Formats: sequence, structure tokens, C-alpha cells
Amino acid sequence: MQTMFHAFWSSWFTGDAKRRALHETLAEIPVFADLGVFELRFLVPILHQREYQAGELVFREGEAGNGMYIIQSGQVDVLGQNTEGASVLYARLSERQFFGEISLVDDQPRSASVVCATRSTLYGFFKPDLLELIDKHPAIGTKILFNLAHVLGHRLRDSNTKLMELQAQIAAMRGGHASS
Amino acid sequence: MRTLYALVLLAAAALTLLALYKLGLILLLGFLLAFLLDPLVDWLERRHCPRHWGALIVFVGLGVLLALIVMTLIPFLQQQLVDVAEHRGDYLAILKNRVDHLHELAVRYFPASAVEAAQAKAESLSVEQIQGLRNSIPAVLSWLSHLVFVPIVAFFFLVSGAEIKKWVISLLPNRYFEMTLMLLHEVNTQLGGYLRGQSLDCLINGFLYALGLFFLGVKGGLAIGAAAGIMNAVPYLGPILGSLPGMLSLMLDPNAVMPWWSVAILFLGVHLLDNLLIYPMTVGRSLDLPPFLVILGILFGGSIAGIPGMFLTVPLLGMARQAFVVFRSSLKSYRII
Repeated sequence: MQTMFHAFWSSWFTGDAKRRALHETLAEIPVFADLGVFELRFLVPILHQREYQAGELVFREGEAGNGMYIIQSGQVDVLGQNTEGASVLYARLSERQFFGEISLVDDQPRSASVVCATRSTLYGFFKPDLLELIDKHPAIGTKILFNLAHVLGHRLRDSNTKLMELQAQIAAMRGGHASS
Repeated sequence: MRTLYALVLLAAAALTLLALYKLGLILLLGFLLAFLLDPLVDWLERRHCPRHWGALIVFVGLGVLLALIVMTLIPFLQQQLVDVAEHRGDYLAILKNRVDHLHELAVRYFPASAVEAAQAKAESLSVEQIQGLRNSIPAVLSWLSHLVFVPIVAFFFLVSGAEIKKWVISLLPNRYFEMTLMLLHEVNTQLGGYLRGQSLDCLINGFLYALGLFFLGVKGGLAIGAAAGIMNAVPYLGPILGSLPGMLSLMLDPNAVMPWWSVAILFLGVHLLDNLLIYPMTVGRSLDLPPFLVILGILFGGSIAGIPGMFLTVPLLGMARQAFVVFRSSLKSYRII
């Protein structure tokens, strides 16, 4: 019966080639990297595939955020605002990269805006689905959470390193001014 | 284009459901039943039971439970019916006595012309009601036969509900899909909590009514109590309507020890206990609707779909209110308004 239901919905909503491509993408996303084919069977149905045009907004800084996006194809720009309110490009992300993962664990508004630079296919993964996955399949949920913690820890370490570099640069600049 | 497609589809679905009113009600009842049973299927799924098998196990379990209840109740109800048929004359005599007593009181305190007019009106009304009741039997039976489809629809929603939700969301424009996802999640959580809480409330109330009626010596007290428990799901009117068969039973029973108004006291007591303790613990304030809106909704639901309409109004109103509240706050947090 499961096969019947599965085949029915598969024929309607996804194809095998599409699923294979998605599995390949997910394998390269650190949050899902160590999930096996069996575990991906529970993850893929809760991902939301979306098609975006070039220039289309994915989300805006300050909006409520509830999940992360994975880039299957295309490119997106992560934008912020400087102190004068002008738009600043933080990063350009391309396929098999992801963004918005902090929203899976906090209840804060989005910290940056994301706009598609080209026509893109994105997969959304949202907090209610993650919580349901943790509830129903704790082993898979724990793996994802652990990977997510790993990614966020890595980002924090990077930020600390950059902060220390900046502090060293400021100290050096102050030292230079003092000696001159 | 996607918005237009979604709107056309939504309008077509609404029109179809409106045209096929019975189908709409069956879908709605199936949807609500799926909501009620979802935690059981989830529980089995957490224990590595595939969802379709979980749904099947839950339905087979429910079927067995229902069969056991029916098998226990049928001989009991049969005995009650035989008893009523055997003592039909006695009951009618008591009823006539009560009506004559009422008539005497009316003649004593009201003008004769008014009493005669009221009597004529009551006679014509009772004839109309009995005629109407007779005519509605085939319609009720047809309704009951349609109810067979409710578990099938519920099974379908339980197994494929997530896919259906995902498909509906896929039709929405990119700008609104994340917000809609959260909206559905919030409504789902609130409505699920309400329906499950309300079911538990009905069960506890039904048990208390049945126990009370049994001790008051009401014939068929257990069945009347269980039915009153279900009626309790209709706010305000439910407990009043639920108490009538018990009062009538004591009123017509020549061997009754307790007076008919003891049933009213029992219902009042249980209702107070429900309002002060049971309802806040089971349902809480999850669907905090204004009483006026609830009464208006019940009357509207009753006029559209009879008793099922009265039962469905409150969860539907709650769902609409919750959707509106979450929708408005989502529009703000997503900076759409």
C-alpha cells in the first residue's frame, strides 16, 4: 500500500531524476551531509521546492524567519545595509550552498536580505518540519541538529577569528599613530 | 500566474463543495476525525510503524472498540425498547395526566380564549412535528449511510495529509509560502489541541452524566448520559438539550423514586464542574470565542446543516478566528502590511 501511495504522489510531485539531483545536493550541504539514503527518505518529503526569477526577493532583512534554504541551481545575493542605509553585498552564493540556517534555531528576524541573482531553484527547510522530524525520528533529527550546531560553531569560530584580526589591525593602526 | 492558478483552483474547490454539500460535510468530518486520530498515528510512527500501517491499526482498533460497544448496547437498548412498548399505555396515561395538570393550571391563570388558542397551536405543531419527524427518517438514514465514507476520508487525510498540505503550499506565490506554512502550523496546533481537548471533555462529562443518571434511577441512564456527553460539545445549548431525555424519562416512569427536576440539578452540577474545572483543564482557552459569536454561529450552523452543523460551528469558528489572528500577525512580521 505504501508503494501505491508513494508511486501516486511521486508521479504527481517529483520525478526520480529530480530526486537523485536533490540527494546529490543534500550530500554536499553540511547540515545533511552524513544522512544515508534511508534517512533522506524522511527528509526529502518535508523540503519545499521553489522556483525564483532573477531579481526576485527570497526574504527581507527584519522579516520573521522560520527556516533555511538550499540552492539547487542558480545564484543568490545576500544583502545588508550599511550605516547610511545603502545596500551592501555580503556574499554571492551559488548551487549546493545554503543560507538562513540560524532561523532554524532562533526566533529572531532575518539578519540579511536575500535576492536571486539569476533564475534559481531553492529548497526550503523549516522549523515546524524539523521539530516534527525530531519528534518522529529522533535519530535523524539529532544528526541534523548536531550538524547544525557544528555549522553554527564553525561560523562563530570564523567570526571570532575575524574579530581578533580586526582588533589586531585597530591596535596596529593605533600603535602606528602613536609612534608617528 | 501561480496566484491566479491557486485562486481559480480554490474557487473551483469551494464551488464544487458548495454544490456537493454532502461531499463537503463528509470531507470536513473526515478532516476533523483525522485531526483527532493524528496523535495516535504519530505515536505509532515514532515507534517505527509506517504511517499507513499506523492509520490502519488505529482504524481497526476503533472499529473493534465500536463493535464491542454496539454489541454491549444493542441487547440493553432492545430491552429498553421492549419495556417502553410493553408499558406504552402506562406511559401515555402518565403523559396525559401531566398534560391535563398543565391544562388545569393554564385555565386557572390565563383567559380561556388564550388557552384554547395555545392548545390548538400545540396540537397542530405536534402533528406537524410528528409528520416532519416521519418524513425526515429516510433523510436521516441516507445521512447515516453517507457517514460510512467519513473514516475512509479520514484515513486518506491521515496517510497523505502532509503531501496534500505540501501540494497546496506549492501553488502559492514565493512571497507568501513561508508565511502560509507557519500559518498552517499554528492553526494545526491550535485546532488539534482544541479538538482533542473537547473530545476528552465530552468523555469526562458523558461519564459523569451517566454515573449521575444511573444513581438517580433513570431508565437508560448510561445511554442518555453518553449522548449528553456528546451534546456537551455544543456550547450553551448542548447541556440543556442533553438533559431533556433524562427529565422526560423520570417524568414518565411510574416507579421513579427521584423527581424529574433532580436530573436538572445533576446537569447543573456537572455543568458547573465542567466550567470551573474540567473544561479549563482539557480545552483551556485555546479557542477563546466571544459567547455571542458562539450562539450566533450555532444557530447559523444549525439552520444550514442541522445537528452536524451545530457541532461543527465552534471548531470552524475557532479555526477561522485562529487563522485570522495568525494571518494578521504573520502579515506584520513578514512586513506585508
